Amino acid sequence: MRFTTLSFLLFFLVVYFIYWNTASRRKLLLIFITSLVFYAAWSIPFMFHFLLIVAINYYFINYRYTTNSDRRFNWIIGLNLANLFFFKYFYFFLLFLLDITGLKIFAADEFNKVLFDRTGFTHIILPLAISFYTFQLIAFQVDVKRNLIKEQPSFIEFAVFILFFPQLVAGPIVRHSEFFYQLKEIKPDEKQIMTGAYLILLGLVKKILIADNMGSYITNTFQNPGAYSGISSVLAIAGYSVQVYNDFSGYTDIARGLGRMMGLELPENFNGPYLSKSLSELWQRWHITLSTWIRDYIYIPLGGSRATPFRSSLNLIATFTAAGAWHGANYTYILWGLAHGLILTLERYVTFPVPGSKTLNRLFTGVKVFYTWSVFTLLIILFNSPDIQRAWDMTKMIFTAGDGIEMKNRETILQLLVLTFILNYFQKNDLQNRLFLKFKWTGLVIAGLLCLFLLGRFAPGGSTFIYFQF
Amino acid sequence: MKPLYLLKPVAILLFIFLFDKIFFLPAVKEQTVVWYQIEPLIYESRDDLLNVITEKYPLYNREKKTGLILGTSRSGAFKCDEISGQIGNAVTWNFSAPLAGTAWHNYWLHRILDKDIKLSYVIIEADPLLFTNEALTYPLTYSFDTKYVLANLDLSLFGNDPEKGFSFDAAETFFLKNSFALYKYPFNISHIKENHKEIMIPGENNTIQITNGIKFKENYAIKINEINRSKFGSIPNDIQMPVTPEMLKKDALNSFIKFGLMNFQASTTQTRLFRNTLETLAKNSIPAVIYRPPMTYELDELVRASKPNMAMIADIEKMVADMKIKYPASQLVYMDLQNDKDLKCRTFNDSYHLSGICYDEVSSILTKKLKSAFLLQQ
Repeated sequence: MRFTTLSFLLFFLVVYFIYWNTASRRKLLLIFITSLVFYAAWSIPFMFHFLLIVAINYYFINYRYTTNSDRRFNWIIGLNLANLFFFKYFYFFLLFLLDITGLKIFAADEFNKVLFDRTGFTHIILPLAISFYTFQLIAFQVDVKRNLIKEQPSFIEFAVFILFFPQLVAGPIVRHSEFFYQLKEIKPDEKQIMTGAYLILLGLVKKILIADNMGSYITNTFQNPGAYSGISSVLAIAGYSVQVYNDFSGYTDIARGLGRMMGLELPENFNGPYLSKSLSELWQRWHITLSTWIRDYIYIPLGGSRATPFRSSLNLIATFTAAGAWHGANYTYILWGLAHGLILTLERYVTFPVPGSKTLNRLFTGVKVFYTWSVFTLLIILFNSPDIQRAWDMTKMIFTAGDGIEMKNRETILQLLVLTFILNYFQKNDLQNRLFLKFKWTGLVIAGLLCLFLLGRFAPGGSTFIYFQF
Repeated sequence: MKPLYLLKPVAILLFIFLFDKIFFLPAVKEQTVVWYQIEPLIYESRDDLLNVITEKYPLYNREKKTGLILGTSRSGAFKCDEISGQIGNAVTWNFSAPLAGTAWHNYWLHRILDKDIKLSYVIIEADPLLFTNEALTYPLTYSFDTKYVLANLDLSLFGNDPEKGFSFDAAETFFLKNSFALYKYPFNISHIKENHKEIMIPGENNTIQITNGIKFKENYAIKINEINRSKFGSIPNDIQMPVTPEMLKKDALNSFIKFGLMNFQASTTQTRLFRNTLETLAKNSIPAVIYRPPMTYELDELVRASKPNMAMIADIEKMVADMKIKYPASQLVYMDLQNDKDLKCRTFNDSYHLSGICYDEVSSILTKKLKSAFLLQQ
């Protein structure tokens, strides 16, 4: 069930009514059941698979608390990674073997034929939310091992933490410290409910109005980069920077809005990333819960910055390469992560001089913001191209100003880019929350009507959230 | 529900939902639907056409064969009385509409058969365009009905029930469009202004008529109703547009991109419902010619260079052939007019639409095939 569908609206209305008419101690059970229903709407067999993973993880948590032994820690981490690897990376692994050996037995089609003959399944399906819930499970297990979670949660509390449907599919990746304390007593709060509703509207506008429309303008260019001109390719990557921000930030807004309407606060995932003055700063403002996760569970365990400069740089590059791989089973994602790691390392050693005068300083800030956004956007070629060949074709087109089809909707793309920077400004300075609290319920009515008019007028066919595929 | 403020978001949602219903009112629609958007009028007129058939069928059935044309605007240009004349002792009804895909054809085929109307022949248009999601947009917005969508909704585990057509997404869009007026008839102030502006349109006897958008729509609706009765649903186009090769080349690329052919991916909904159409025709032994309409050389070049498009064309032919194997008594035949040497007239108004002057030849080729392939029994 996508958040932007009629069926989800009806589902949430029913859940909302029952939830706030349910005694506090029963709310957790309700969240558990409704989250299972939400996941089952995608696939009933995989709902059972998910429940089994949660149950197995809980078994290991329980073992740790009762025996105080970390003997089985590696097993559960291994199991979670194996689960992720099998469903998400198996075909990529086959491709890798095929590329190395050239042997046809490693071709995906051949494997699928055997799979179908033996099991009746045509291919291995990627379970919804697997990347997100795996990271959340691993984080919890590590925190238990590190004795950061003093009190053992009940199965229901743990299951709700993992399954909570607003954040289940594409984050935010929640830590125990951000969530468990809220489960002790869930009480309604008028401001929270109201700002939650506002956030949902904002998320719908970002996702449907901006991201989905942008997607319809630029998809063809990424699919057929050789056919489009260099300028079209530049517009396409700029357009994708608009699409991916509004899609993911919009999703996060809706997730947080739903959470607030259920009396639960989820962490913010974005903080005006496109106004960052360096790539390093951008990663503190973009997909914040992922970047803190990779910092705490990959970078720091590898040694972080406490190692020698050379080793620390390697740690950074390895961490971001892993982050790239997390996004998808494709060489392009790995290269994207690697490129980010390399540039972040370079930024550590290259410092820009700070001009003396205020005016020059402001100008220089603008240059740094432009530099950061440009680097991030250029690397989108790797992130969003279906394969290395098309990434290369697009890069060539851009840097040789190649001839080809000129994309339509140029002005609209640029307008939406400006709007995206404005949204970033609002986000960075917490203006949206201040506006919600200023205009209150009356403003919500007007915002709702405006949303209806805008969505009716400008909504395209509708598409899945980009981060659902991860 | 306590505290009461918990009801506020629900109350706001209800208010917005009810407010939205204002835009379904005919008096409001008249203002908000811009005059040059004739697709809603054509799609909505097909109910009237069905009423006309139902009314006239008892009379015709005694004396004539009943035929049906299902297609896009390309097939909308067929002259029904011409086809009826070529078949002989027949009456042909044209249920074509702009960018109407195979799902929509299936819908009307079933609605007609449900009225116990015995069809003697059917002409169906089929090429990759009709299998795109783009070709679902108008039908989902202005056509179908709840019963049909629910009856064909695929609720299987992974959305792969071959007997069902509508994906959950397609059904969602249908219900969304029918629940929210502003989603079906978007509000645009400039459209309201356009509807009140003076416009000049061709009148009868080569005159120019001055009217406004609102009156144009009223008259167009009346005209379509008249056409349903006098021309059996066709909207022939006798106009020869002055086009140059450069215009056609540019239009070919624009159309290729705009209608979803550049990254062609067949819609599951369209494919399954097309198969259902073939099966329905085969089971009922209704003679049918499934034809691929001609397109400009420039567009054909783009299509030929596209593996997914060519695969779809091959798939369409294969689906017809497979149905004939499954039902040996079926009377289905596939024709590729794009590559048909008998079709000499290839003058186009745009990449997809033949000039009206070519339609006599096209209908002649199709009816000749129908007559030679099948014994058209009453």
